[in-house]
Amino acid sequence: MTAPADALSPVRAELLRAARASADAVRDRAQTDAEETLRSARATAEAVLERARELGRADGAAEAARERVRAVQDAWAAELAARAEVYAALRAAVHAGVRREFTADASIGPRCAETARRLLGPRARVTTASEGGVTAEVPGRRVDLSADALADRALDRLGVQAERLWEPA
Amino acid sequence: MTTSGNPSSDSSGRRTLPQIPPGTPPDGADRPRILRVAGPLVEITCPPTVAMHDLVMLGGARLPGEVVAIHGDTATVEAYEYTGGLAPGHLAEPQGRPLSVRLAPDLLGGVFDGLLRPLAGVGDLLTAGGPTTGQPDRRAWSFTPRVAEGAPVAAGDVLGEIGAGVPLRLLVPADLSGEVTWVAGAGDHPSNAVLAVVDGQDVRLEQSWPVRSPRPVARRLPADVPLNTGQRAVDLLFPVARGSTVAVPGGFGTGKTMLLQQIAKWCDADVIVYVGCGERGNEMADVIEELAELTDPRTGGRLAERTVTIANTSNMPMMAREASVHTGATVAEYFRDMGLDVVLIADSTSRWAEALREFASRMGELPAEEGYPAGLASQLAAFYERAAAVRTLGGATGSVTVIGAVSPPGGDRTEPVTAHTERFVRCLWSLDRDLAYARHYPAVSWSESFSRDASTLAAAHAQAGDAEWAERRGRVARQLAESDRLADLVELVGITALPPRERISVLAGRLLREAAIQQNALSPADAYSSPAKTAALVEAVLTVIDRCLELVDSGIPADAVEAVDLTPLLRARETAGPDETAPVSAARDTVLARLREAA
Amino acid sequence: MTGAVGIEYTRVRDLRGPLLFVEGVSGVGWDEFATIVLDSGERRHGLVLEVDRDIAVVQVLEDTAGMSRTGTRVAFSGTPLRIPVGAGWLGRVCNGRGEPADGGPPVLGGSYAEVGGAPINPVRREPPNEAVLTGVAAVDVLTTLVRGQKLPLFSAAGLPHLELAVQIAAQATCGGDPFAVVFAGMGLTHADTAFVRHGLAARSAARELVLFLNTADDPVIERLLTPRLALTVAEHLAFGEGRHVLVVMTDMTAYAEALREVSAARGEIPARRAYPGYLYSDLASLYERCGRIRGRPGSVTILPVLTMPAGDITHPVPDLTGYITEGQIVLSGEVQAGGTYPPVDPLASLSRLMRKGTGAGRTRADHPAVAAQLIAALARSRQVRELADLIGRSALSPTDLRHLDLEDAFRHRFLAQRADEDRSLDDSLGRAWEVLLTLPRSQLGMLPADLLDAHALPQDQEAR
Repeated sequence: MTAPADALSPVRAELLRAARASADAVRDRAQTDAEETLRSARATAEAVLERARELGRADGAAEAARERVRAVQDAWAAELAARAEVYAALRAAVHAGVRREFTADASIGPRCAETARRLLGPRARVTTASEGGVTAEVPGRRVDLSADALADRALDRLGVQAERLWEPA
Repeated sequence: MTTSGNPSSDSSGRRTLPQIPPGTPPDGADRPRILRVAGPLVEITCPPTVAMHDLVMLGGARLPGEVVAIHGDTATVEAYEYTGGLAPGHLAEPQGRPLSVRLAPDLLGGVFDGLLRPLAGVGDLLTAGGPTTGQPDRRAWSFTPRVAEGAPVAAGDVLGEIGAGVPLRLLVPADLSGEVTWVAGAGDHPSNAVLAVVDGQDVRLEQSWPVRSPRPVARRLPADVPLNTGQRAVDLLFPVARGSTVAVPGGFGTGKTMLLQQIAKWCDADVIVYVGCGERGNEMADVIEELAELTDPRTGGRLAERTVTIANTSNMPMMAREASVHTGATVAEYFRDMGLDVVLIADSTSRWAEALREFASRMGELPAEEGYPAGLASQLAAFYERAAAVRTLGGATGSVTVIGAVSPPGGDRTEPVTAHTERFVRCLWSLDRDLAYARHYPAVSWSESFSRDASTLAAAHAQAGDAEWAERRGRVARQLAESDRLADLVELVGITALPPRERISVLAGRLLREAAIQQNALSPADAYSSPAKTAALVEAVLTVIDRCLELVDSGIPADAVEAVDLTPLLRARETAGPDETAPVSAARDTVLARLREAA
Repeated sequence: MTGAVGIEYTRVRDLRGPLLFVEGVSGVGWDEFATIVLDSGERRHGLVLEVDRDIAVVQVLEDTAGMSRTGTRVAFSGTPLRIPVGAGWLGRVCNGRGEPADGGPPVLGGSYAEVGGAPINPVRREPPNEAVLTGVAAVDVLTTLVRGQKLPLFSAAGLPHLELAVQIAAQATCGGDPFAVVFAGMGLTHADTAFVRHGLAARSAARELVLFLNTADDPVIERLLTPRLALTVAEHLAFGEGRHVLVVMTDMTAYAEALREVSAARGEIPARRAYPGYLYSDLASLYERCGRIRGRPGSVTILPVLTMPAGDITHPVPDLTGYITEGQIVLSGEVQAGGTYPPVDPLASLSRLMRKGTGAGRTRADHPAVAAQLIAALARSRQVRELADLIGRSALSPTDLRHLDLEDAFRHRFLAQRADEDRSLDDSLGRAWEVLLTLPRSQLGMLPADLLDAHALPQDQEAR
């Protein structure tokens, strides 16, 4: 698969550039929202931990230790939930961004169709996707160049960079 | 997958491939291509010139493989590496020669994979195609010519000597004879330098040899010289001759690898070829480290310097495991031809057989017992046949002794690999789970093992001045069998119910086991036992037993004899050094004195 | 898992068991990772088992249920399955395919690694020689787990192997060195899953744990992937980030059954008990991923847990495991029946690397001698007990009777331990001494005199 994949890479780069540019912009905007989501989650967690510490001062040591462990777990669960929320928001924003891009730049759609024909041959049956972009088919093969598929790939390529949303700067 | 018979026309086995017609693009449509990939099984389009067992390089990473079947215009190739990413349409490059290895003095002390590619210097992790980047060690060797220019020589004749820890020689290659037209002067030369020209052909220290072709010899000799392994259970009860064959079956945890490693360290061969075939990585690391640290008692050098290690651990590609035993045999024969005694240890042949089974199954061969191919027995036989004491082409004597571990699934000795192997070997050192469980090491069972070399070697020992050897062995074997029989009885009725002589017999069995047969691999004094020390320990134990019997015969109660503290005798194997007999005699005398007091 | 614009192949020829045959492909390599999209939009995943001319055979991890010849699309990734690796896995709970099961976002990583791993070069391996302490006396003192070792837990149905595995995973440490546990559960019931999550919650919240859980009702084939994900994540944490990592894999019998199922679906020639002939090599491809590498600080230690069907140690799964691993910890129904937890059979258990991982500078100077003497004494105790069963207690010598006392003391003072009790090595060794000193000094020949002098109680009844 290596060879054909390499041959595709300029095409892929071109197609994904637009999507990625949009994703980057979205990520920056998402950063602000994320900070807010995380701040509130972390404040809740801190409150839980503080309550546990107080309980510890009041009660026996064993019970306090258990409570503290439970509080740390609750705090971590809250943090994970907040991160998931942030990530989902990013995903939604990237999807919306890519769709907007397709609407704003009318040349992207035809470029996608052209690429699809390059990949599958001139006989490919090209269908316009409702959210922008195209899917194309010949018997036995298909390519998906719809806006949502492109957005998902852009997000995948973002990879670990998305973690900046919840890592302290 | 094994072949026998002669290598093809010259020593490298090279044949000429038809030239690709000029003007054919490098990726021309008529070049051989891959059609199908299913793990290590690869099908390619096959030009008519490709022969069975030819080496084929596969895909862009040039993964080595071997042709194992040709059907019409396609060939089936067994790949020796992980074939991930290999796809139909990729190129296949038949090499026009069988799988061959580079043989040179610098193999000694080295660690290699199953295709004899050096593992030093190829990085922490092995990736497909990786070991090919490891460069052979081309240090200079001191060479002293032993022929004059103009002298007529024949295949196998010595052209010169090489200065190394082990006495090595440069020989006339197997397919060459004629006049020495040039020979290098005394001095240091790298292994790829031409050191002589015979009949117009260059002769170098390093050479290539196809691994599946046994190297030719003048004739086989009877195997009648003992190989001293330094392990008493073996040397005393189930001795092996140089050039003979041994199988070591044992379930997991019976100490198979430990015993083989002890033999690799201490047996009195000139060269050890240790093939770790589908075994543990940590264990290989351990043996490599220990060999590098231990001193060879005979040469004073490092043990590693007489050892070639082939490490194909269980997670390395399975098909290279199949090749590794043949690679090991080829290396062993290479040193044998220089007039050396070589021991080839293969741990474990069961993993090799599993590789055979795996590939046969992918080939869709009709399975015989437990899914193994019908040819399993003949392939095992062919492997063990590479052991021999020989007269080399040059007239020297040399030997290859093969010791193969067998790992019977579930300890089931009737399974195909164990059952067939037992038929082909001259010695069987069967490891017993109960002995191992009782921490009796080496756990060689005296009831389930055999040595068909024993009577021949008795004569050799007698000739060497130890006329008592056969009698001693017979007595020990009888005593152990008798003690086992009585032990069963004791479990039923208790020791006190036995008559006095039988009670002493039970004691005798324990003494033999603990004072003579058990051996502590971790103790510097006891890890290795010279023939003299082994004889002294057994003599001492037998003398003490005789004395005990005399005492009970004279009416002394068995209780009183049993109560005598025999600890000095039990500890003698640890207090005496590997070559010492005096501390053993002293311990015997102390115990005899105590017995006199008891009387 | 990467984001290339791939061609999707839609011509599915056959569907058989977990296998999907798709034709018309080109350039697809063996062992490539595939993504399969169903008509419903559902995504599944697979691996290329064979590629023959233009037909690729794909093993579908989630099984082929609900797939049809039309409307199924297969895209190939161009590489074997790779997953993100990095510290982002710590603290996460995932299903058997590595998808989050803890409400968090997908795990992202700075780099990707192939889940198949690459064999460690034998000449680059560092022989293991330092202990992992588990806080379980029977393990720490008698079958010490060594960093870089593979030491399985052999058990049978009805025995508390999961409890012990979780206890070890929760308590294990490597002195003060950075440490992590990767826990791979295969074919666990929902009750077991809940037990594991609960038992390891503290370690998870402390971000020292990665949990992969394939439950009994999850796809069977997915089980082939779960331990490989766990090991890939562990290798990076160890050799990339310098942690000592303990990988617990349970239950390997469930894993082997999945392997057998795929093998049967492919029509392969079976070997023992219908398991495929390559079971040994397949298990080795997991177990051999443990170890240490010269010049790198971390280590991967593997604790596979397996239930022996019908308690049979000659069954292919425990048998082949025993051939690969470096010893075993065996749980015994008899000890369990006596009401002792953990029900470890000390005589059947063995850690082959213990000799190098214990003693002065490793654990404690007296540790090897104490362990050897305790095993020897227990072996004698067992003989005495068998004898007593045959001929009666009254016929036993005083020394024999003391050995029976020793066995009792061993079970109650040393072996027995609460499932949440993290015992220090000093405490465990102290108890071992206490047990040994139920014997007269003359029976303790494997202990050097100076050690005996230092530990013997003043009231030691040497005079008897």
